Amino acid sequence: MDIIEFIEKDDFFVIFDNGLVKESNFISNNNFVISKNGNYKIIYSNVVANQNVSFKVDKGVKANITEIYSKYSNNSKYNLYIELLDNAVVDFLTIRFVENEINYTSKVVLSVNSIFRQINVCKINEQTSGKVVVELNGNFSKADIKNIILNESSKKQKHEFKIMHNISETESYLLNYAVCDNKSILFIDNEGFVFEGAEKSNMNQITKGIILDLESEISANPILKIDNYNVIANHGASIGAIDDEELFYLMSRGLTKADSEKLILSGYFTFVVNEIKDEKIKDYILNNLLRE
Amino acid sequence: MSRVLKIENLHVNVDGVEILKGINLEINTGEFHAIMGPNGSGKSTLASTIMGHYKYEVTQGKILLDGLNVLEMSVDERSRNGLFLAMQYPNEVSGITNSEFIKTAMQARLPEGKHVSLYKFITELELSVKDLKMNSDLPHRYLNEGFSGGERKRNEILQLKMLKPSFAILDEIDSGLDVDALKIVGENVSKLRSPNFGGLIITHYERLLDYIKCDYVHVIVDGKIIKTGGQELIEKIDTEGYDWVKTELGIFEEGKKKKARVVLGTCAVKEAISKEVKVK
Repeated sequence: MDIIEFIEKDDFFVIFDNGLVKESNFISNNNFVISKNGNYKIIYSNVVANQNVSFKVDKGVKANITEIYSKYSNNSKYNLYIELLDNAVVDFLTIRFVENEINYTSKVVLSVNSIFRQINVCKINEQTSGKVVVELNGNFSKADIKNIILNESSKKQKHEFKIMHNISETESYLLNYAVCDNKSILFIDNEGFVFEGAEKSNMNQITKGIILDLESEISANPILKIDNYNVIANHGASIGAIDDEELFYLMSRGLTKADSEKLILSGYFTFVVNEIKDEKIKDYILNNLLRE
Repeated sequence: MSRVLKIENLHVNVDGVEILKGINLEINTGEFHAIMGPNGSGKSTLASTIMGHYKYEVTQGKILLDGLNVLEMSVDERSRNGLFLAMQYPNEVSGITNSEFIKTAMQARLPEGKHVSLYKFITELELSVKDLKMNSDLPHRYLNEGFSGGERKRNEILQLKMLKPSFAILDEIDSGLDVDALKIVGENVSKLRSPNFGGLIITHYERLLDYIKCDYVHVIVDGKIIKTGGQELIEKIDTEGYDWVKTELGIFEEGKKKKARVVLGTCAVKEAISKEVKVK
């Protein structure tokens, strides 16, 4: 399916082609302000060397933003900056199904009472490195980030997430669902900072990983730096193979091993994918995530 | 069409320990067989081995389905060839609904290019859920997640009714069921009796077998079938346990040594000395 087909009639959209705006119904350069409630689609449709995009979401605006990468981006570097002004609420979905090597960085800055909820779905068939930095700069701001990372590339991939509680009464939730297959190696670094002055902050990190073959590896590294006594901070990680008993149960009903694994993985990802409201996009994600 | 499941001289090890020591059994479709026996006798081992569970190592013997070697089939092949195991402890699998799972399993049995009719599937599923008096939301919940023990067992029978195998092995399907649930499960399994279906029912108790009339009853002790009979065997086991069977056949389970009669010789010697003394 061509990713441009995800643009619906009432959407605000911008299509980037080789780093430049090719078509848009609300913007004409790479730095833009989202000032109206609505659905926004950001499409990276062509091979780019570097793609720099900067958003500002106006005060009180509620925006659903979907960012979709072209499959054939090659050796590209994506840099995204997004700033939420006071009381802005953003639901941000990033879909990276890419065949070639890419590197990405994202920086998200939250002001007072702003909420940033992101779902990242990442299946890159080459080595990759990515970094997401979230700065909670306003009181009562909240970041809720869920990542699905599937590495079947036989290469090393590294994804870093850094959440910084810079002020009091901020919340963050970081949840990673990772799967590794085909002798691949995956590093997930989860850094969490609670600085002095950020009392009554609440920081949570969980990483769950499934390894599908004996030579793949997942390394989940929590790095918490807490400089305040009056906070809640927790982290957890569990990494393992698919439960043999679960596999036996499904196979005993006639499913092949491959189909059983696929069904178990679809169940594994369901908790994140079910939060996506757009059914067309949900199907696209499930069809591309699960191997044949 | 009639089918036959034949087990010949089956020996099975678990973690290097021999649990089944030469099982011989033949089940035809149209028949219900009960397997009874004390704890640890190998009943569940037999059930899991037939289905190909990875923990069980067959060291000798055969399992044949219409002459085909079941031991050469993978777990899923055994299922698609008509075997079904209703588990003693069914797994939870999160994120997959019951209905999705059953539909996928039904689809796996169809030739390539053919698809499960959604209308037929939904109709049949709803009817089966009603027959089993399950909550109508259960098919839409994640597979066994948060189910009580009884609900899980009923879910096994739901899958059995939908997948329609030739042979079903029910591994202690009655454990954890209350009186009403037992009746529902028993009656639903009993209704499956047909020339195209055979059942192997593993149980400790007579109660389930009040609802499922069995053509043959086999008693397993220490990894072997030691007695085969009819319904009368069930009643006797229920009232007298298994000891009478072992005694009747002179069987002692491995690990328990035969207790020798103790002859107390000292009393007789004592008496003889006393008499001698008296005489003197």
